Amino acid sequence: MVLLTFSKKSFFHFIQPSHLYIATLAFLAVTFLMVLALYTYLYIQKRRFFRNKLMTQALDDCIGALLIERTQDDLEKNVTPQLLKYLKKPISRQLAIDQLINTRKNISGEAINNVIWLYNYLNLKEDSLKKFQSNVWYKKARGIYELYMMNQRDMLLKIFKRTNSQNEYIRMEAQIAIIGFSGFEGLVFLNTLTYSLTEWHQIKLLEQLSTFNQVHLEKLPKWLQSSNKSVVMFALKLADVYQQIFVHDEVTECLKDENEKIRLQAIKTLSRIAVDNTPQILQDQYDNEEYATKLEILRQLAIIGSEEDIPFLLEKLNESDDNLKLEATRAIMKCSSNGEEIVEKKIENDNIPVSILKQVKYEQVR
Amino acid sequence: MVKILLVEDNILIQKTVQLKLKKEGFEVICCNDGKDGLEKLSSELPDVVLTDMMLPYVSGLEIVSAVKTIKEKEIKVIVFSTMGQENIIEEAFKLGADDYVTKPFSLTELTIRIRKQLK
Repeated sequence: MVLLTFSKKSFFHFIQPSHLYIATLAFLAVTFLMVLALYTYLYIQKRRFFRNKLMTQALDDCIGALLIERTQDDLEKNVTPQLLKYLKKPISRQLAIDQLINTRKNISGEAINNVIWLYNYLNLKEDSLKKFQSNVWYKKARGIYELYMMNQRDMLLKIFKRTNSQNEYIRMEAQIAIIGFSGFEGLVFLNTLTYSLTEWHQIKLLEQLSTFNQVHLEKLPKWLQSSNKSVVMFALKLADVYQQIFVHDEVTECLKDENEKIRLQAIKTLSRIAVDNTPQILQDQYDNEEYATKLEILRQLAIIGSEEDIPFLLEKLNESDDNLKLEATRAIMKCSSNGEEIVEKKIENDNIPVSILKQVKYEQVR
Repeated sequence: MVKILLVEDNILIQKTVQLKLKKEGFEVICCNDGKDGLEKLSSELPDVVLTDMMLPYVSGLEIVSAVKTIKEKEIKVIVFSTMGQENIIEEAFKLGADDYVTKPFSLTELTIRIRKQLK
């Protein structure tokens, strides 16, 4: 209370009525400056927006016309002075690169050669190279992307060196670019990769590979024995997707790997590249496995198994876990034409819940 | 002259396809969104409709369905799709689409497909 009285007193001791005018003036000045700054900012943004719009229109007209031309003279005729004027500013040059990439993503065939011709003719490669040489990771990654999208094959070796970059994004962009340039041969970067390939990255690489004609993956055995576990995982997926039967033995070796995810993928891959003894290999593996992997073995036996696997699968109906019983029942029903009778008999003899069979029958009807 | 209605929100693609088709001797009417596309469809009654699947305001599927309700003339529909849109393409065919092209597509291929539909 004493402190409050004292502060009120001292406050009003220093503040005079004349100070109110000064404060009002200062407040007005600050408000005016803020409005002015806001107005200037909006004006600049508006100008930039309209300039970009004009630039985009000019570029769209130019690219649109270029894509349907066939001769060099016709191509040059369509590069207007207005477009060249716009392209003096870096921001407009970036817009031009973005539009060319947009075209590349949507149009294919002969027209793409014209897009690349325009990129080179307008010297936009210099801008991409500047980004590629930058020390800032996102600029470098963007530079790689632009060079690859504009098919600058002379940069292949330099980009290849970045496939083992310590930055995840640069590495990923470089690997995608190398595959874009060289297809399956580009996978050679897996030989020297020391960093991990994330799940997302593996999906992107497989997607990129899907646009190329498949070749014999002769380095696959080497990748399946790599010390980099993510390379082994990716190699297993390659063997699976492209059904590389010749690596059956190497994939079988992966079942000994201490990493459960690798063993799980190896089981799926073995099922895709199955030979006569594959079901027996999976059966031998069963007892050494964890729960999720056991389930996967039973699922894959449902696909590749035969009558010969029925005794093994019947044993699994005595497992304590209901999910294992369920998977084993599904597998029996698929492996044998009279699977239902076999399961019914087992249920009667071994006192197994009949609901397991009912569930599988319901799934089949559905 | 064969009249084509092109509904595509990517202006660059729209212009490119328009120029190519004009060069091939077609009359091309362009729309940037689905709403405009539906309006032009009933007012212009084109011979062929080329439509993207992902459009502002009204989807490509709605355009396909609207085309097939027109009784005045038989209008062919070719849809543009992107990789991984198989389920949308399937839906478009159920609604009556006649053909499709997947982006990135070749302009020559598109012209061939249009001509095939016109036969």
